[in-house]
Amino acid sequence: MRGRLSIQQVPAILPTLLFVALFIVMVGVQNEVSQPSLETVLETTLPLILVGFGQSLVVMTGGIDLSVGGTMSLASAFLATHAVSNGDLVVWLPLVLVIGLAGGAVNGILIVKTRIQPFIVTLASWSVFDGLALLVLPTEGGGVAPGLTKFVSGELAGIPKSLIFAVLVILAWLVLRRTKFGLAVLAVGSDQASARLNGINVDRTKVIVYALSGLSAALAAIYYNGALTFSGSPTAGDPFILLSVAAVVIGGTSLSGGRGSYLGTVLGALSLSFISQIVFFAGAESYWSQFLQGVLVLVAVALFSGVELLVKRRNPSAMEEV
Amino acid sequence: MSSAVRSTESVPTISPRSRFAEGGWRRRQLPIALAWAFVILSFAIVSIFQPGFHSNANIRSLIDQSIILGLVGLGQTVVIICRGIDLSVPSMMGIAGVVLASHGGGGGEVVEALVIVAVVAIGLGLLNGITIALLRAPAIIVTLATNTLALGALLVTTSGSTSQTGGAIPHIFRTVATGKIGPLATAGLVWLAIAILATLLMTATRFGRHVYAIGNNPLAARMSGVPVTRTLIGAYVFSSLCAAAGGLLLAGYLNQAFPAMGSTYLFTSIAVVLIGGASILGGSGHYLGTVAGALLLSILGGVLAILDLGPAYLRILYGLLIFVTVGLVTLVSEKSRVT
Amino acid sequence: MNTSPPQKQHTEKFDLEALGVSKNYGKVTALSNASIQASFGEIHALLGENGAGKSTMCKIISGSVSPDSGRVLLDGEEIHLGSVGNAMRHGIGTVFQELSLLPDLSVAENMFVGVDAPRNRFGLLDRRLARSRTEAIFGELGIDDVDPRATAGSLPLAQQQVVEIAKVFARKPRVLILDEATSTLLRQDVLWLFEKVRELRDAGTAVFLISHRLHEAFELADRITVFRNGENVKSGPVGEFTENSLVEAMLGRALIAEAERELPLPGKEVRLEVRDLNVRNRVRDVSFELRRGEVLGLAGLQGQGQSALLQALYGWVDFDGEVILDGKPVKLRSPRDAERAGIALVPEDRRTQGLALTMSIRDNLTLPTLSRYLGFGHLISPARETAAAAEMAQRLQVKAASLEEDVSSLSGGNQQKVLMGKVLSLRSDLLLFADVTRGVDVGTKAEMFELVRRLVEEGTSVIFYSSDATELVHMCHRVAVMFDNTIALMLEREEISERNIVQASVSGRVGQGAVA
Repeated sequence: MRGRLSIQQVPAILPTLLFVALFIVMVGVQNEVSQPSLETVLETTLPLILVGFGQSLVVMTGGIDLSVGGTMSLASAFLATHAVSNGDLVVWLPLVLVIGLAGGAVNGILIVKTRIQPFIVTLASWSVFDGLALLVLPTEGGGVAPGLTKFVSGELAGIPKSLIFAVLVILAWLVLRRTKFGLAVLAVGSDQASARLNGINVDRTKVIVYALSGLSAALAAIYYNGALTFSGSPTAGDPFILLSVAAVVIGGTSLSGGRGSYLGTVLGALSLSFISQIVFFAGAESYWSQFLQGVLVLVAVALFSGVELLVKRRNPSAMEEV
Repeated sequence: MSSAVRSTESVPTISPRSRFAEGGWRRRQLPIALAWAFVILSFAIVSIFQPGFHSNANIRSLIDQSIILGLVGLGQTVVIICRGIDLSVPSMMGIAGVVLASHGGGGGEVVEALVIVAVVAIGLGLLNGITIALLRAPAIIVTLATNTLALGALLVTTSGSTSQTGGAIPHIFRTVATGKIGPLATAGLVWLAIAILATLLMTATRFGRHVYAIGNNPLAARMSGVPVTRTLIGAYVFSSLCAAAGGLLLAGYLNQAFPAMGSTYLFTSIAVVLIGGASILGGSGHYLGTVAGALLLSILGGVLAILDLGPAYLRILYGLLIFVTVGLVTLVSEKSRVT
Repeated sequence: MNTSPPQKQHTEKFDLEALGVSKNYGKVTALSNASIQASFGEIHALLGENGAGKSTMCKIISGSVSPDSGRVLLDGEEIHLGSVGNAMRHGIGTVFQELSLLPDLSVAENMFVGVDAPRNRFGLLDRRLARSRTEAIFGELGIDDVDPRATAGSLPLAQQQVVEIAKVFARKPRVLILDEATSTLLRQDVLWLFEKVRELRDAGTAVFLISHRLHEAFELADRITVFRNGENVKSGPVGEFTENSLVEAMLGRALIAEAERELPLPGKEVRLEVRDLNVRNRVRDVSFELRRGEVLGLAGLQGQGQSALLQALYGWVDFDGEVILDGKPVKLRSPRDAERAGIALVPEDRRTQGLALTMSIRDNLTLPTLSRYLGFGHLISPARETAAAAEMAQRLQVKAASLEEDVSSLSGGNQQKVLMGKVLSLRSDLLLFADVTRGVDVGTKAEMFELVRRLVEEGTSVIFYSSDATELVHMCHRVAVMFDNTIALMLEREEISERNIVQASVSGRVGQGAVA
């Protein structure tokens, strides 16, 4: 029994090990631990951490959200064109959040009502949102309200805002995990039919997770515009689609749903960033980081899948695909 | 339970008629027919409003644009039918194009370039296939990772240059990509041959049957003696080779090559397979549907160019198109699938 | 058309009634204006063949399926179900045939998912409390071998079913539905379940029991209702029924007693020799011989290694030990190895293991033997393929409109025939049957027995694993009873009886007699 348990814990242990190992390498390459550089890492990773929240929830239900890139781009575009003054910000900040929420909800409703696969629905909606973003903001640019920048960047009582935001999202997850809804999310991903037989409202659960995913993409755009680029971009979200899925997978959450933790996603996101930092400080060209990130994801997914396969082989239940 | 009971109902003989006459077979072709209906309809409508649209020259241009997508889509079709997906297509196209461009000097060099491209394609396909088939890793992540990896590796070899690399593209690729024979596009004839071979591959070879069986029910396929691992690996190698071919042709069409040249094909290669009636869950689909999808996308691109609407509208249209066609296909075939 | 006995609706009041219920799935009628009445404090068995409607009726009462028409009344008042949650609120609990556990969640989490879980002062789920509550429930029910912290999916099937049962019992339902709840249970668990069900009944719960095992109905039920063709055809206290009258009501015709045909004697030649076969954790030191034309039965309680043994012989799982076929050792590392050696397996679950449901009958039938139909240039010849498929379908009497129909549109029995046809096309002379008649209706069962008899006459050797002792008695030359993951006893022809098989299954030996 013992032996079997410890193998099943690999998905939980590996991301932590990876995170620690990469952190050590990063620090080593820089020859010092400077707080500003750590802060920078956290700041540049925060959008991914935010998008990863919604994506983690979606993946836990056994789905996938490819439209997060489009939602983020759209939100970024709207902010950069309509929320340039503080006065406009007051109106448009909540509006952008609502747009994100609504876009995600539309995804969820379509998935539930039409029974079309999440992959397809979110692929299609990504394209639509992306196109809309281009209409709102044809090229990178636009402005950002000074109030927004002041709100999301810098420090609060000596603590970097990025750290505060990260902690808040993590707390949100910890609470969510212990609610009836959190259990429902995992149940739906574990076995949808059984979840229904247990009285769980599967449809409602799904709509909510996709809505939350849209919301977190919008939040990511707000931070992205306000703290990182100080403008907007109609392609802001594009890299985050696959990056968010990569972070989720490296973090040990299974793409088939039912298993995993957002904490792993955070570690995965940071691990990916660490690689960029390592490459930068080692003096290598930036494309090396792309290469190494690809290697990291491949190795991680190969390891997790291999472990899962070993577990199944050792513990064969009915005639499965062994 | 007591003694056995004998059934006394009589059974009608199932006569071995030609399959094309049977309702079941016809029902299964519906999504493809639908896709082609869209193509013909949209072509006809646009031709009414834009007289030049159905000129030989324009049709050749449409085909030239579509064949690349059609090639990449061929590999993607096979992979999607066996429940996979290949997101490493863009990197493969970039590699093929860049390698070709850096070997522009005459016959021997072209052959060398082709060999290199083939080896890389097989290697990438093997990497994908082995990880997915042997380790049971999810295809989305694996091919995403290999795409990132391969693109990064390509940039390393070109020392980070993201613009046109190498020299000229060998003449033959340009001819096939943009040339004509009489009123017909060279590409069109090549595509016809490819389509015939592809159809034979999928319907009349054991490999094709195995691909469909795996997509339908991997467990039952394995139990029926289908060599699942081998077939899956073969599918991904095939897909990489198709993407490579697409990249070569794209280089010919553009008359240049650069590492990111395949980036738009990630989305569109999947889109055309779905529009062509294949199910993302696997087990159904046909290359002829993908061909229709590729043509449809080109026609729509042409429409938007005529209406002078930018790429934003194209994106929106693509998204809606995917949704509508898949929705229709789902409606038409409301069958349960074994997961 | 309705031949139900005169209803006593006006003189006798029932606590739970479903009246005039109809349900159609496309063109298939599952229930046709059917009614059923039940009382609190009564165990009510619902019997009938596959597709007769008993399962659908229970699904409607359980809330997981909505009827097209009809009413359900509880305590005389009409209630609207429509979701399992709603049914649960009315006190209707269901142990589902297909198990409703979430495999990735822990046992404790499974016990409380969907209902109010134990919370701490922040209103958040308290895992420790959930665990201790689970332990308390298990203690009350007499369950002592399940760890609340274990992941539900890692438990053996029998334990999973125990958890499923405990989950429902813990909510003290007023109406309990048991849909094939004993299918994967070990015999001692079945007895435990019966005891608990009787306790619930005595405390006033109305219990619906669906089972294919007729003897369970006689053992447990107070009342029996028989469904046929979507209608309630006979209902009454258990004492009014005999096994024969029950089967007659289920089939709608009298049993045709078949002349007890002796199985042809097996040949002398030993075809298969298995020595010290071991499958990790599942099969221990199994050795036996199989002769030409012999049917060797595999008996025993669920989970004693029968499936794993067959899977090993089919090359599906890794094993240690020797397999000697026709005097020569063979390596069976994959199903392809097995098929090349002439061994074929008819799997347990036709829907998930055997057939590609959305492919045509033809595709399914010819899949394993495609190399036989190659024509020009190694391409498959449509004519040859279709002819072969038609011949197979005809031989097995598959009822379908055409070969191009999707297999999913066929009835369960016909699907089984397609599966058999597919396996038989391999022309193997050593067939492995993995509990293939579980859940199959009586008519198709008979046809399958005929088939096996014909094959045996032609010299095929068969290993026949079945969870139905009666079948084994009728079918086999010898029966190997598996107990504790190994063959405890090999019953020879004269020793084969239901009593011996059952006794050997639960204890590993027979009478005061010999042990293998």
